[in-house]
Amino acid sequence: MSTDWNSVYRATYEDLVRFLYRKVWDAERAHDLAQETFLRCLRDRAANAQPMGNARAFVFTVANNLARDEARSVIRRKKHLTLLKSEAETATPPVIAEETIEQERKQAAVEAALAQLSDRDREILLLWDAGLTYQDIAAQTGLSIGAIGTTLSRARRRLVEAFETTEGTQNVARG
Amino acid sequence: MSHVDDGELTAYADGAYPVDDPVALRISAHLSTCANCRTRLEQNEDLRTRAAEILSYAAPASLQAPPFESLQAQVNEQRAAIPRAVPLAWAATIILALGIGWFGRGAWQGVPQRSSIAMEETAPAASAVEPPIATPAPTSEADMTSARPQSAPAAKTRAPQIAAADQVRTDAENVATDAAVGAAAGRAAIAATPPPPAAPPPAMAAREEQAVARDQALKAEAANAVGYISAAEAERRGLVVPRIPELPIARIGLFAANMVVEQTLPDGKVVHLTVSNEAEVAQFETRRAQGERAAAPPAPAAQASRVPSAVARVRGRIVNVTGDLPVDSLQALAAKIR
Repeated sequence: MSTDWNSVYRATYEDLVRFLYRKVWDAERAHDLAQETFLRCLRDRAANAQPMGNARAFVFTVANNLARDEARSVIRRKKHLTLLKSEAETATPPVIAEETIEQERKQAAVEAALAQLSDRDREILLLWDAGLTYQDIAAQTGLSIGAIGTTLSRARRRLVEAFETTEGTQNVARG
Repeated sequence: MSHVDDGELTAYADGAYPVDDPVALRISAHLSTCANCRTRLEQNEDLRTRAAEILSYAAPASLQAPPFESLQAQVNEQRAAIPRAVPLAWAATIILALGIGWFGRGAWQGVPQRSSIAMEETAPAASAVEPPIATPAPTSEADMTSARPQSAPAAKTRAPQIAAADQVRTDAENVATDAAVGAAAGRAAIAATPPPPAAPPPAMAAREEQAVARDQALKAEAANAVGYISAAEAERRGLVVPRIPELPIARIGLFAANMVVEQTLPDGKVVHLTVSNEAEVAQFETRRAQGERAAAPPAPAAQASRVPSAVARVRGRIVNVTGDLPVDSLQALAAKIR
């Protein structure tokens, strides 16, 4: 039975965009990559023969590869962080709501916290958060279930510590 | 008491193990008796919840998915555009890949001259009795016997270049290869004793015409394939390219079974030097060792339909020279090949 890609698309798209966004930190680019991911999946004849159970994992494998290439654009990443930093330093634009600024600040803190993880820890953490099972992650990474658990435990701990350290610093700065 | 491994505990907390999995059963049993590990399990779950909350801050404002139908439409358009391009691209890719692979074997680094074969450039006609040379690529195996009416079944097609070369070979010599074109005495001997040519069978003439057509088609296809390099590129790659020294090389075609060197005459005409590879040479040697004799040249009436060519043997390679020139001119050029 061929894969019902329409259903996979509807069930996976939002998680996929979030996953890609945390890789490239550009909303528009995340959507573009999500579209490209599904285009590749639809074009891939082999993918069409896969049963539904593996479709989600396949989608994220394709997306991960796309994002890896995209994330290697260091210039884009640095430009983004620089832009966020410069926005934080300037006076509050009158047209931007405070909650939007707060959201952007937290988002920058998450980005900075994720950047402190190793590539492997970050990848597995994001795959798990995107809804992939341990078995799916194991298939992508070659790690055992126990090793994935160890990696996730470490990644989560470092993410929380890094984020709360940044938040604590910013809270102190804001007084 | 040994406690639960952190990785296994995390996997257990995340529901990674089926309920009846041995690892899950072991952990469950341990948790029932170990308060420390139960505390660790709770901390693990709290950490997971907090991490998920933090990650949720990093999400685009909009997660709206475009209609799936638009994606499917793009894929359908792309698929509709592919079929026409694939065959030509595939053919070009095959030609290029085979050519590159063949040259990667170092086939052009200089094949040791075979001492068992007299260098026909200087040998008199009578000494070099060699069977016809099979011209590669354009034909299905160019049959060395096909031009010899008296020989074994002419079941194979003969290349037009070979057939044309037979025009200048004497019957007494039974020379299929005009490898000695460089020898003036040899040429004189050949020209002086024109053989009584035997008329080729009609089927062979048809095959030869087909071979010409295939050769032309292959050249046309090769012209579109990415298989041509410049002389400078050939030198850079370290390729050994037989050539007529005083003529410039227009380009060098690299094909599956041979190399074609195109050189330009002062009047603008182009001659093609088709250089055979080691396999063809080996085949030639085998047939020669088996004592296959060259066929008598075809009848004069049939000769007019043949593509004029001359053959030279240079450093263990067989070079077939073709062009819009009289045969003796081609022979003179072939004699100069180095």
